Amino acid sequence: MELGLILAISGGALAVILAGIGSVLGVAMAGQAAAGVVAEDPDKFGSVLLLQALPGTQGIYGMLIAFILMGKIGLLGTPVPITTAQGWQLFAACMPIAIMGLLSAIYQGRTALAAIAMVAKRGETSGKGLTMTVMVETYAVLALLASILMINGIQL
Amino acid sequence: MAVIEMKKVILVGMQDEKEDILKAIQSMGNLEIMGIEEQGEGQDGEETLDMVWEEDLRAMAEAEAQLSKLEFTLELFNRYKPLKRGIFDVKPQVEARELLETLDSRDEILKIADQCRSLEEELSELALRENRLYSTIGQMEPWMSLDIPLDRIEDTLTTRVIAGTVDRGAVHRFLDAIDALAEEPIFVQELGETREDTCFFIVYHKSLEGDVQSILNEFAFNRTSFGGFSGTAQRIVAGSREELREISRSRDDIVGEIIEFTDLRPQLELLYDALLIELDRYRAIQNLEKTHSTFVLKGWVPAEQSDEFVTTLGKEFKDIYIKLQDPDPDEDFPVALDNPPLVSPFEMVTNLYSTPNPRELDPNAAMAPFFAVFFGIMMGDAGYGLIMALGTYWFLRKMKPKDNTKKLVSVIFIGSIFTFIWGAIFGGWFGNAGELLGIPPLWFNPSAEPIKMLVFCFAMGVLHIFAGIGVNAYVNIRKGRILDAIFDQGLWYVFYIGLILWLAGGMAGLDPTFSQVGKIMTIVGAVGLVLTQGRDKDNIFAKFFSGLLSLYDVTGFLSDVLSYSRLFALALTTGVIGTVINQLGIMAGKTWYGWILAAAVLIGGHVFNIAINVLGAFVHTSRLQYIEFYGKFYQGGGRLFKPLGMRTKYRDIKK
Repeated sequence: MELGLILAISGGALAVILAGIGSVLGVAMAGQAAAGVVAEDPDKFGSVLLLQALPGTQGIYGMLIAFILMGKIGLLGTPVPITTAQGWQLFAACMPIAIMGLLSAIYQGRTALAAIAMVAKRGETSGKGLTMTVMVETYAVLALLASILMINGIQL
Repeated sequence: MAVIEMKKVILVGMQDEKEDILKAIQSMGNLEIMGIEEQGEGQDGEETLDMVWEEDLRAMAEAEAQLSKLEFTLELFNRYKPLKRGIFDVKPQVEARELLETLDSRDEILKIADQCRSLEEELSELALRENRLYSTIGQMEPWMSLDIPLDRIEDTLTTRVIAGTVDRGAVHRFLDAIDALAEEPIFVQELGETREDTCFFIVYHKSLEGDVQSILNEFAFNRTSFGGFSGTAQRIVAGSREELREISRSRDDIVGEIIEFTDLRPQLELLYDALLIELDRYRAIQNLEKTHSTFVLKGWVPAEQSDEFVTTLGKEFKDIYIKLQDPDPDEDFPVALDNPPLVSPFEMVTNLYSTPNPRELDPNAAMAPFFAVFFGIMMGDAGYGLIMALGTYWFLRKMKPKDNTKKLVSVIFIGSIFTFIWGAIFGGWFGNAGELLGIPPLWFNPSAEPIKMLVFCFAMGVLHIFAGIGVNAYVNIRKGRILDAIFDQGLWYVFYIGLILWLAGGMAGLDPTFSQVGKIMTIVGAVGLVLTQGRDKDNIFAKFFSGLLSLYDVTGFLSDVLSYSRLFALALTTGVIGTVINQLGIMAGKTWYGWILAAAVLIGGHVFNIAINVLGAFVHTSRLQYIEFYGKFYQGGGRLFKPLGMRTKYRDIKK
């Protein structure tokens, strides 16, 4: 029973940590490029800030899963007993957003970076850059949904 | 509801009146002058007229120079007396007449700018002197204990007198080496230190030249020369310090003068805007053609305003010829949109993607309701909706934003009303606060019944995609291509609806006949598509294979529908983060000071949640429009109508 709880919490922790790392890297990458653009043309702050913010959502998705998991295992209220098998199930359910969050945020950061470079050259393309960058996020959203549905479906 | 019709204007006027005619056009603000490149197109065979306006080019360069002068001065003002103008501040309003009158006092105002510039030059001169003095002080400080005037460090008849430095690390060994000459007539004084070296003053009898030189060489003694300095180091430092004080006094004076000048900031700003208007006119002139004594202007004017345009100019100027023309069928004209007030803010969403081209349907009316609904589902919190609606309403009323800012805020305002509605439907009130207070959802709670929610989102997606296909069908029908509408859109409807009934009908527990009907529809649709989708191909095999291949589009349809799961994901994000914030607040709120903390957590947290989710909801809703919806029918690629008008930076012109 103890091991089950440890596994479940590890899963939630990994969701926050990995997706968070992805977002940190993505946002930082985009942010450095954004700062360069703003140094040249302060008026573009608004559009490059939007682009910079996009890879930040994966970290939020990771945290979301951690909280849903905490609610599920009663970590915030009365703890629910968890078998080792259930622990593994919950752990596995956290993996989609943990791994996809990590990778998609990094690659979304790269796309955001390219989009920021595009906005720097041609200011009117910010909407297109935004769309290209959001395309990457789709897969993080799908992973988030998969994790939510899995955690929801596991019988405790 | 549509792309506004444009008329092509060809205007011929006298060169003496060119300035006044353009001023009149500028104040009407409804004519876009064609660029040189645009004029070149589609006019083959026509002789191009001379387009060089030397005098106006000069005037343009002058206006640009004056603008940069004013800009420089205004920046200077901002440096010494920053203007407290927040991002939310409204530009002051001014009458057009008053603004243009400042051009009369242009010379005086520019004189002020010149004065400010010379003050700034004095300031940089002072800064330069200051730097020099600081470096002098830094240079002199190690030598301050030497009480001999620096210009007097020179050999006497029998002695050699030198000053210089030795590396700090070698000082001990250097002194030891000198001490070895103890009995000899040599005097060494150790002075202050620089960062790396120690300074020495050395006097010795010339008979020691060889010994001393070899020691100096060994320790890389670096002779210092004091060319240009006179008096003792101490005196020099004191003098420099005095001079620095003087500099700072005169700097204060100059800065005071500049600050006095900042009272004139409004005048400078007015002139700046007036010059900007003038500059735009000179730029426009560069697109005119000329003959010996006339000029020719080509441009676009909205068809509705074209008659008024002609009569206004006709009344004011006698020697003028204006011809209005409909654009050629294949000629692109600039695009202005005309939509009812509830739809027009959404033009900004479409323009972010691509402006409609002049020959297609304005998609905004079809897109707006979906945008508002999807935005509402993704935010999905009645409490947030209320706050956002109040906030954006206040902003719109109080700040009177213009153009894209106004449109963006209006989009969020409309979205926030739907946020309220969907929040009430799904029971979201500030995260789970509604649940805690016992407010039931009007329909169901998505996080309790995720599959139901997912199916609902897919259904919304199917509706959206079908609407997109429908718009395409409408366009085809309106253009008289009835067959295209039946084959390219109608058959897809049959096929997709059949597929959905067939596959999902059983799962949803519908009567099996639905499934049966669906199966038949799917087969009919598929056969129809295979037969018709290759109809523009030449031979029968190509026709068949492109028809068969077109069925592959069904994967596109599937991924499009799945894409709407983001509605659910983003709705959950808002709700769960809101719930977490509430939990943190409840955890904190156990004592009276805990309640204060809880209030801070709740307010800060929910504001943060609204901010990130508005961003998320906006970009993801936009994506659903651009990719899933516009992908079905929209081309874009138009160019926004930019009439020659009164463009300003610091003031808004009263209408």
